[in-house]
Amino acid sequence: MSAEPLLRVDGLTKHFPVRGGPLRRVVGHVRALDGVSFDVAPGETFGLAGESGSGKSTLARIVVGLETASGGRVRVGDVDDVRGGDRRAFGRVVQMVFQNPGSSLNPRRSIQATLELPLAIHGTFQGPIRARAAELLEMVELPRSFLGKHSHELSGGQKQRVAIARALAVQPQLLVLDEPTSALDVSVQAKVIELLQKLRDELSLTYLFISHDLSLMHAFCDRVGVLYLGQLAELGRADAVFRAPRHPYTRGLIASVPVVGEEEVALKAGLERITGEIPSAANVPSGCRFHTRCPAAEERCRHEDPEFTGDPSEQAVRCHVHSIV
Amino acid sequence: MSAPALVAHAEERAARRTAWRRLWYRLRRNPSALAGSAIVLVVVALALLAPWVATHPQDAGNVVNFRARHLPPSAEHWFGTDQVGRDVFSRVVFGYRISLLLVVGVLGLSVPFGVVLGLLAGYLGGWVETLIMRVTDVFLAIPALVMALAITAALTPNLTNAMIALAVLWWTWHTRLVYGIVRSLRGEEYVEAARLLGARTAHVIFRELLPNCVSAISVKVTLDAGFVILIGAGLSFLGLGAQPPAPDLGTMVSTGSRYLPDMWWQSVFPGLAILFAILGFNLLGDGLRDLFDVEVA
Amino acid sequence: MTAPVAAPVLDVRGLRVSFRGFEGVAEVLQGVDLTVGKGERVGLVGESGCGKSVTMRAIMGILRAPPARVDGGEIRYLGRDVLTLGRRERDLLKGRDLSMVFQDPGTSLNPVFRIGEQLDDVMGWADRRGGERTSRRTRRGRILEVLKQVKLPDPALVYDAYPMQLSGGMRQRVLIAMALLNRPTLLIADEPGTALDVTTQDEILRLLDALVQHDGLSMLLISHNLGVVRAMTDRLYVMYAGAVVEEGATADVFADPRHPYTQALLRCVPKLDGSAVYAGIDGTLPDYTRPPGGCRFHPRCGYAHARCSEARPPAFEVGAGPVAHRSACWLEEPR
Repeated sequence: MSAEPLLRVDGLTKHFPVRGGPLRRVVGHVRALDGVSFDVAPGETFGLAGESGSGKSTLARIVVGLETASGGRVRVGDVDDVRGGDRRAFGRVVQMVFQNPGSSLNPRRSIQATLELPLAIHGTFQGPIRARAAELLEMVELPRSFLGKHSHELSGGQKQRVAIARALAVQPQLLVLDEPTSALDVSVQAKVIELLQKLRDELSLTYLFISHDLSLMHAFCDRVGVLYLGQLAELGRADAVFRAPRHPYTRGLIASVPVVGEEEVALKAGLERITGEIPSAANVPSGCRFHTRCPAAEERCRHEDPEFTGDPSEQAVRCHVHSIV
Repeated sequence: MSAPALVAHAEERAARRTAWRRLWYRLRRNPSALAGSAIVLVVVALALLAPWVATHPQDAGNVVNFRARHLPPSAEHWFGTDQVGRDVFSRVVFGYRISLLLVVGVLGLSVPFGVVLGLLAGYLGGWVETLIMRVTDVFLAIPALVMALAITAALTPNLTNAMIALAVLWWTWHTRLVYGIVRSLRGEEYVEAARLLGARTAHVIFRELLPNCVSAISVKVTLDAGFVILIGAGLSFLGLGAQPPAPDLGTMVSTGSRYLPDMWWQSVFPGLAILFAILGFNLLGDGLRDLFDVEVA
Repeated sequence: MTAPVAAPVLDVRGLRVSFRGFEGVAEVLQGVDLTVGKGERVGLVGESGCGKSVTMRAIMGILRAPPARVDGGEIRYLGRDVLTLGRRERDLLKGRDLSMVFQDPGTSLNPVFRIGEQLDDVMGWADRRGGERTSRRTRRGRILEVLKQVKLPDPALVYDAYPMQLSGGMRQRVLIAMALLNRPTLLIADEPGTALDVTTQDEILRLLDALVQHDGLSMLLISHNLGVVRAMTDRLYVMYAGAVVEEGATADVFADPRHPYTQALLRCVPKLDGSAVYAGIDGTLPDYTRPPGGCRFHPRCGYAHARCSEARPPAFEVGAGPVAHRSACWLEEPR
């Protein structure tokens, strides 16, 4: 990856204080993110996988500026961090599509009002705003008659299309997609993903795609990162990571994916399953944080936190046992 | 208008028509809302059309007709006459004007104030939230009727002061209600999306959040209307509301009770009128609550 | 492979259910046929709005009527028609022989009661309906036994715990325990583990499968996830717009899907090898109050011809294997 990255996440940390006792003193910290670093090149689709509690949504919210980091930096294009900066300037570079079609649109506002809001705020568009709103609808393959509708008249897939159109209204470079299809049926999901691919090619967008659906990620993303308890466990080209996962967590995740075809079963063959549930981020295990569930854990995994080995543009892994030399 | 715009316009109108028809469909299946709205409509119509509905409109004022005093209900005087010979029915009809005036005054003053405070506290959080909600708690701890008694007694007892006394306390309920709703809506994705798009705080509060509080507020306002009528009647029963000779329902019950039980109509009919109005607002409020599917404390 | 046996545990025939609302009458189920044999694991799969939940609720007798109404058909459970049973008998059935694993471990347990109390209630009700009087102590013994069966690490501790003290995976195990408590014959599992992470879901499904196989239970698994159904069932039904469009042995249907809807649906599922073709299915589920005539899938079907909009296709036999493989599509009509 020789080009200057569009998104640079550098040592990102987010600690939420845990308060307890009658005086509400800080008694500990939830380490939602603990030193996450990766780059996303322009035009690339980067997937971030992980179970609930892995910190993937927190990361997405920090990247778009809905939350502030406790440490580390996020740089999008030439805009450095939203903190203290110009909210609107930042919003022109990065936008987000949310997970839940049920709450992503205001039930009391028309689709037209929803789409005209960003146009009015940023004023970057010359000409009649209503025409532009209709154009945005066309971009997401919805008829212009939807302008007068309200969200309750739309199906889940249609709502997500409107949410995509709203995010695109300010012509951002980076779109953060936080599980945009996880609430949709597969037949609808397929259409929305198809649309996202088309938009990516036509508008040369860059995507940060958050999901727990590994199969979807493999098809949709160029590179992926696997988050576990606020740290990346594995990182690399999607095809490399899915065809030859190295980290025992990635291997376990892939092993537990329900599949529908024989070719896929072959991919899962030989991968060790993992048991138990993700520990609380308020109480992160010592050493390698995955050692409590790891089928390959050794003595040193309990005490020593492993470093990344390998090339993040191809495949890199944070594991003592399966390090890349 | 261009052809596609015309089509879109027609579709919008059709959609609105369907929305009204759906509302009517659901209303029909909601007998309490239906009965409530019928009663409220009757009460409001009586109040608005009082001069024409009343059989003896001049009796609303300071009229004395000793020859007609203490007459029982008859074809001439449906609800009988009072101790100075005024027609009770006509005074009841005019009495609704005072009751509704009180409702409009109290809620018109307190609801917007309370709603705005609730929006600010719920959305902004931090010290604004702490300040507003603690003050609200203090006000909520004061019993409404007692406070209203104190205020009206301290000032001159009249309708305006009763209105002010109630309004001073009433806003707190709406602050609480709206605060709770906004707290739960604050994290909704459309609110966050608006923030990401760079919307100003005022836009988020008044254009994104407020419309989503409207149904709960209107249910609360409807239920409140009955309550205001009740407390207002209580105040004037104690002589702290509208002053004679104004045809106030509470005053009529109070005065009429002196002639119980023989001349029962003088207090019973105004009493029933109060009951009727309160029942209407409560039924309508409950019905709207089901219709809008909102939770109102 | 389990062949459907002579006397199925559950036999649904021509089940028709409609809903009445502002838009008019919605004919949601238009004649669903479905059987679950003894010891058989059967899947009911389809996208949201296809009628699988309504079917399940009709079987469990928990449809809200009105607005729902059963217009016809029968639901035979061990030979008896549930729809004609009295309330008492049906409750008895529900508490014991017919039992259900609920979907959401977050909301299916009451947060203010201990796990033990909730399980005890479920067991006590069923015992009382069955005319038995059991002591809390004997019930406790059975509850601890089942909690151990679902591989909860410390049953006695779980017994005294409140739901909030357990993780999502543990709560889902408790829900499975609850379903197994009264030794049911048929287990209905509604999207089990859907709310959980993929590794936890995998564990839960394996556990459920082991328990079902161990006790020789019959299971009806309702799911939108084709992968889950593939791993967990012997036979399956694919539903679309209120009708079963394809049925057959799970292996046969996945190897050779015959109905155009099943084929399209399988194409939409993202594949782990990254090979998914994002075809999707054009259009949306029909409006049940104004469904298209004939085959309800025809407006979205790439193979549709004149016949499809005129008459509803019956289920044609399409397979040669020991288990009936049927597809309700005119393309399969023998000529």
